[in-house]
Amino acid sequence: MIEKEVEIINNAGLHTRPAATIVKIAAKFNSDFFINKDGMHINGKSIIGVMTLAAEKGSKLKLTFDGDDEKEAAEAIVDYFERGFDEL
Amino acid sequence: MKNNVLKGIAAAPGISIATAYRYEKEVENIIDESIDNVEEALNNLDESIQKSKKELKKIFDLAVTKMGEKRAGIFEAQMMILEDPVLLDNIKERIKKERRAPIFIVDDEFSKYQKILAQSQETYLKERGHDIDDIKNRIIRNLKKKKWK
Repeated sequence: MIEKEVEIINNAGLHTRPAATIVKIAAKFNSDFFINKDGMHINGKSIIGVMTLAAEKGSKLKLTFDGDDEKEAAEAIVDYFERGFDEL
Repeated sequence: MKNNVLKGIAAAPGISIATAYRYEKEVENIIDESIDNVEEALNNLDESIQKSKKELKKIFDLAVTKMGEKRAGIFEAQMMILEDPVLLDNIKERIKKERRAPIFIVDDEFSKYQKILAQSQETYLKERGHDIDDIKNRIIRNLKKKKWK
């Protein structure tokens, strides 16, 4: 299992469009992917779950990846967070 | 003829003469019923979801033409909710285990997420709750067109 901490760096935060993109990236991998924020534990492959996360600019999320392709999944998703959801 | 003066903020300058429509959101009546035929209920759920997908695809295509792909993205997210593996598995499992009408289970599962969003202080998150409400009501309307014992 891989654990990563990421920060939301784009101004608009984790709004609907990046939420949809995160789920689409996660769906490409077999590994389970969960997002933790302030005690909320969300399956990262669930769009309705990710949409429910109130993640503003500056908020920190803990991501966990577990499965045969966890390394690749972690790289792809952490990279998307670090690119500020391509909104910088 | 009855005159009715409405006051508000002008969103665009000018004068317009036309028939006015009043928008009222229909509140779907949810009845908690037990079911005998689980298989039929699951088929009805599947068909209602497929029908909702077709309806949304039409709206999405129209929105892309009128608003552009980026702004039409909300409808794409709504379509993705109709394929959400976690949400759909929970709904199906509960129909099988609890033997209750799909309408009740759909409403109950969606409402969990709506409650979280409604508690938020942020306006945009409250509005996101309305997006989830729209998709929930679309499935429920399509389920109501079905009949089962």
